[in-house]
Amino acid sequence: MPALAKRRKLWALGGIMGFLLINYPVLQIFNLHTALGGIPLLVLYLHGVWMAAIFALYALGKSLTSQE
Amino acid sequence: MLSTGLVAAAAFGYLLMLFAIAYYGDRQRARGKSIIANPYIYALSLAVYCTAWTFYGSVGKAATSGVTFLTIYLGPTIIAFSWWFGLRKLLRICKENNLTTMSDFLTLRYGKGAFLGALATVGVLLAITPYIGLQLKSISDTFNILVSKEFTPTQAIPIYQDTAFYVALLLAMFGILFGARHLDPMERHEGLVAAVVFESLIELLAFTSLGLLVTFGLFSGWGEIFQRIQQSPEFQQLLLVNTGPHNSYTLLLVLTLLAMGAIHFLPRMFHMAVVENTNEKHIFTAIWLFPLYLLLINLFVMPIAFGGLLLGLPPAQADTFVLRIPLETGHPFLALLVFLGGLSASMAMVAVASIAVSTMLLNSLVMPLAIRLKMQERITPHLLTIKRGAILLLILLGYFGYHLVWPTVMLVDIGLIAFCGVMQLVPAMVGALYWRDATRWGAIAGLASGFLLCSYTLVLPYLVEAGWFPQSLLTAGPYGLAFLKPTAFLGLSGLDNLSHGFFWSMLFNVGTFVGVSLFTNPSPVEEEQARRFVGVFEEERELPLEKRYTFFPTLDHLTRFLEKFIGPRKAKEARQAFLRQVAIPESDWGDREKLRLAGFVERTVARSLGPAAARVIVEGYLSSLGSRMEDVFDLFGRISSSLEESEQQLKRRVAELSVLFEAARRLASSLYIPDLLEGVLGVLEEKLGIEKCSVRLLDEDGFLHMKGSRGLPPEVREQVGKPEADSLLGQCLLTPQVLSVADASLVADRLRGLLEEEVLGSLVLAPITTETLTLGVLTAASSQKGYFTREHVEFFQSLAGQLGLAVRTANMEEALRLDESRLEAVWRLSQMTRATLQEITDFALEEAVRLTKSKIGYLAFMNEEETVLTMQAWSKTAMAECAITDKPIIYPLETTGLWGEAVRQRRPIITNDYAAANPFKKGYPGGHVAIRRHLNIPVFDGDHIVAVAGVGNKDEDYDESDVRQLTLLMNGMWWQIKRQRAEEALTAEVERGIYFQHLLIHTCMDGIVANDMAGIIRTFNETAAHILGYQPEEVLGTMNIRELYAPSQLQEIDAKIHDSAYGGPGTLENYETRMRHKNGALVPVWLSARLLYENDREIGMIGHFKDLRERKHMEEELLRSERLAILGKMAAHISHEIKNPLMLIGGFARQVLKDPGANPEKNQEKLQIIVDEVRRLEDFLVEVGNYAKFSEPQKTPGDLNALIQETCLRLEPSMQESKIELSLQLDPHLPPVPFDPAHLRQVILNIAKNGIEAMEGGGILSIATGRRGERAFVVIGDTGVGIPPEVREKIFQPFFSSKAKGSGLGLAISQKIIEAHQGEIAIDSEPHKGTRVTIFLKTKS
Repeated sequence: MPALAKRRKLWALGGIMGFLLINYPVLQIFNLHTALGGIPLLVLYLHGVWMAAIFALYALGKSLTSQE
Repeated sequence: MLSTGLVAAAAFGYLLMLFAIAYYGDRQRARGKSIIANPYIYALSLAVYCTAWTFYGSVGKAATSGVTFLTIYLGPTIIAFSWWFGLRKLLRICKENNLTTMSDFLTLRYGKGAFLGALATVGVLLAITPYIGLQLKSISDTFNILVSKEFTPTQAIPIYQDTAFYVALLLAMFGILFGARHLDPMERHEGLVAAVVFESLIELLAFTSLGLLVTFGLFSGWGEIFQRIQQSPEFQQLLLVNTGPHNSYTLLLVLTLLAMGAIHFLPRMFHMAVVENTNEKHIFTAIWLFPLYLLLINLFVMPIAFGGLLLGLPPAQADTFVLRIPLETGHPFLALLVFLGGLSASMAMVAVASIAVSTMLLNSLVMPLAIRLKMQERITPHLLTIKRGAILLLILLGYFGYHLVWPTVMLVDIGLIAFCGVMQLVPAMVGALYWRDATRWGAIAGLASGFLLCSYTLVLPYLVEAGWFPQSLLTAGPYGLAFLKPTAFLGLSGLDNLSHGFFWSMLFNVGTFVGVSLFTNPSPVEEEQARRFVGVFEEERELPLEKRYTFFPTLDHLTRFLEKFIGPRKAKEARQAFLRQVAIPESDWGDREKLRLAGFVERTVARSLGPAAARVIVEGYLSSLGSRMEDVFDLFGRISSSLEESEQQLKRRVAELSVLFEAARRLASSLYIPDLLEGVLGVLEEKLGIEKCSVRLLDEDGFLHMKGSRGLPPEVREQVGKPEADSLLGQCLLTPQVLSVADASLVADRLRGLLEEEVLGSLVLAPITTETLTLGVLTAASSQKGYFTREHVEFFQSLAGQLGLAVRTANMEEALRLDESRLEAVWRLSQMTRATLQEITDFALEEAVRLTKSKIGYLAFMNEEETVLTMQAWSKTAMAECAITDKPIIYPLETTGLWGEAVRQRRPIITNDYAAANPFKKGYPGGHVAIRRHLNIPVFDGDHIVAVAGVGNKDEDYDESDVRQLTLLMNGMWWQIKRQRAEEALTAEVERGIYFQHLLIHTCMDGIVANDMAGIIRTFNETAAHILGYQPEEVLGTMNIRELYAPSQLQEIDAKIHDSAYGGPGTLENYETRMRHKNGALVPVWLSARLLYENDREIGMIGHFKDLRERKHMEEELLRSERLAILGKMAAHISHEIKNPLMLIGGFARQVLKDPGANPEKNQEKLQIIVDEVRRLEDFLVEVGNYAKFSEPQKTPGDLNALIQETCLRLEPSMQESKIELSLQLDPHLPPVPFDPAHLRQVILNIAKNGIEAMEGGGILSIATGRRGERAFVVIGDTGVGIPPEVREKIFQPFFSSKAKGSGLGLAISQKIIEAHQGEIAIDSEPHKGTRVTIFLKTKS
């Protein structure tokens, strides 16, 4: 099923993207003594990536559930 | 500060609550209502990932290394992207194979050997035990902190005073109660899961509560905390990474990878995510809800950690910040809640991990060991106890480990070492899922090297630190080998210990796993499992069945067997489940279902004992019952096994096969049994050099006949004998099995039936068999003792089998050929319709001789009384050979010898040994053909014997087949003879009938003529020929019926015969017509005809006719004489009428002449009379002339009414005179009528005058006209005196008159006229009343 194979690749892409985003060298970009609204950039970034990943997982899961 | 009692009570109360929840969960499951079959529960159950280490250690880590701790939770979030295909695949495989642990998974995938599972189990056990100890330590530490704020070194206190010990016992109890209350083949513990989920929620609640307190109670939000940390030079580094080895990018990467592996392969995680999963769709929810839970629980880690630091708590106590902060800030009950949260985390981890690992222990260590020691039967009843013991043991190991071994190691490190330990399972597990070429040896090598290096590089340094090993090991390396230093393996330095250990262990693990896998070949079982594991989502194909069980126990047996391992209830459930799966009743099971059942039983046992043990146990059980696997395709089995045979064996097999091939070739080349036997014996002699061999075949009576031999004297042929049951021959035939006798003298008492030459040394007897029959024995003998080897035996067996098949085929072929031959003979007999009796019997006899392979034959007919036989035919050979010249033809039955027995006994008689004495035999005369064998049969017609047929001198014995052939053939012959006789009788009968019919037709006094539909004359009898002047032969089949009738006559006949008015449809009776004579004259005939029908279809017409010429002639004669009579009468009448006036005239004339002058007056008077009389005579003569000179009327259509009116005018004077009235009633619509006006006027005048004359006293004359059908009528009536009846008939005769002065010609003339008009005249009269005359005239000519 091409649609399923495509979705599978989308899952894999999400995982790889997430893995790259929380590791060197991307992490280097945010490894600064800067704060946004009082919250350190790095903390904000990691939590941001985290929440984005959760949202992506939620969306992917939902789309699969609705498809089944 | 909280009192010990309160904390203990709270903890105990909380525990009780957990027990209650778990108990409720189990109860619900027992009732079939799963409380955990819910995606949210599944997602929260995964939170068992968060242990005391999360609860306390994260804060500690955050306080010392900053955001590094987040990677432990980010990793699982990232890997969640793979769950839909990775975790689901793992789940599917485990569900399909009933796998409950990782070691089982590996064992099954890599070929079911116990070693790999054991290795994995030991590795996991070593990694997890300290981890369990850590949980116990955290509970006891936090408890102590809560009650006394003191941190007592555990070694210092005795065990019985150590809180952790009691905690350990309590947790063991919890684990046993909810993880091992009974043996569950599914390893599902719903109560436990429910408790874990509840704990997860408490954890979240406690942690969030504390986080809120710190963030918003003690500080004014995240902003403040972070800003203050950022401003603090001491702590601002915590907000960055890569500031040192403790938070380097490498470490972040390693931690992420560890977390990604740990989330699947920590025993508790595998158990929760895979084993306790109820529905793989729950993964959809878990992939986002579980990361969300992790996010929430970590949201306050940094605020708490940094808050603690800002509150001035020492970083060294960072692991206990979560308790210390609420205690320090005066929120003891919050501290209690936090304690309960931590307790939850620990308890969940310990319970689940201990259950999971104890299952691994049981399945992968205890059972394989028990089987190795052959103790499985003794151990199986105690499995539950063993499992409970394992749980207790694990927890106690953890406790003692931490109590005695691990004190110096920090909390967080134990967790990470465990992570790294289970990480070693990743290559083998992932390879199992995705790499078909991964082999068992690769997995073992990878696991072993991984565990080894992990221990060496990661664990050993801690042991050195604990003083177990000399410090030099770390600084100088073992034996001074610096490149082997555990912390700088192969000289790699600059990495933190964890990254270092992770790198080396994973490098060696993956390297050896892949390398060894590539260099080794998987076993067939492994290959099959690899296919199933890797392709678990591919559609199941039904593979060709390659193996089957020789014998298989029933489902009941297997259910009882299962009960021993999983208990009666579960066994029953499993049985039901299997029956649902196969959906075929047990009675209809084939090999495939039995294989499936075996697999199912093995999998079911595997859930309790693990696959390695299950396989051994199930196989052992089956083989103890005598069941073993065999190849379905024996042929291929042979081929594959032959590959393993030695060259010598192969050569021998090739030779054997070539001989078998040669034998097969010879057997296929003929269908004649003697040829077949010669072929096989030839092969034995020529190819194998067998000294003596022979073939004996059984006949229908169970006698063995020697049919062929080699190396034996020729006279043994024809040897016949009945095999005795206890002799070798009898045994060989009876079993039927190949018998090999190495020394015949040892079995001397069982050699009966065998030849002397055959029993000199060794011999082999092979039964010649087909699937169902034993046909004979093939023997081979050697004068050398022990000559025949096992190979010989096998060879003879297959040769005899081939021979059996060939003999049977030949027999069948022969029977078929005979039947065909006989059918052909019978068919040819049936075609001999014109043959004489002698020809038929000769032919049948020759065929009988041929079919029975005889030399001579005879046929004799029986008389009706069955007393005398009359010889009908001898076969040609018999005639040629017989020297007796005048053979008798008649044989009275009582004088016949053996050949009469067939009649006397009324059954076929076979005499195969004619020379032998026989009471019935009376001998034959000298010169008779010498008889060796004889067979004769009675031929029956119903119960009556009609003939005897016999054949003789066949080369072989006569048997039932010959009887059958002869009987069937002779019956066929007799039937043919009978048929021919019947036909002859029928023909004579028919001919007689035809002759009679011929006679009938031709002697008939009527002419008979019949024609077909085309009009061709088919029957024409002699009378008809006579009447019409033809010869029958010139008419029959050549002339058309049309030519026999006058023109248009046939159409008329045809119309009338189809009309029902002439004697019914299809019939015409007494019709007068004319037929054409040969000379052209028309012959009047009286014809009766009838249509001929066949199946309601008209096929022709038959007519009978009488000649009417004679009759017509006679009628004319009669008419002429009648006319002459009338003429005579007329002449008399006329002469009379003339005579009277003439006498008057003569008399008066003479008187006057005598005296013409005298008395003139008187003379005058007399002359007047003469004149009157002369006028009367003149009138009379005119009438006579009219009648005689009647002319044909000249008809013209005219108005009849006008004619009548005109005529009445003439009548008026006489009517007035007689005072008669006229009444006219003329039909004004009368059509024109053709008539002659002069003639018709005369008719009306005549009739009207008669009427007027009849009414002397007056009356009424009425004239009416009218129309009736196609005729017009005129009625003339009077009221006169009428006509007396006696004269009525004569009134139309000429010269008849009832009146004194009538000429008697009026009505005669009238009738003549009307008849000439083709009309009718009728008179109706009553005396004294009147007369009515009616004239009918046609309105159309």
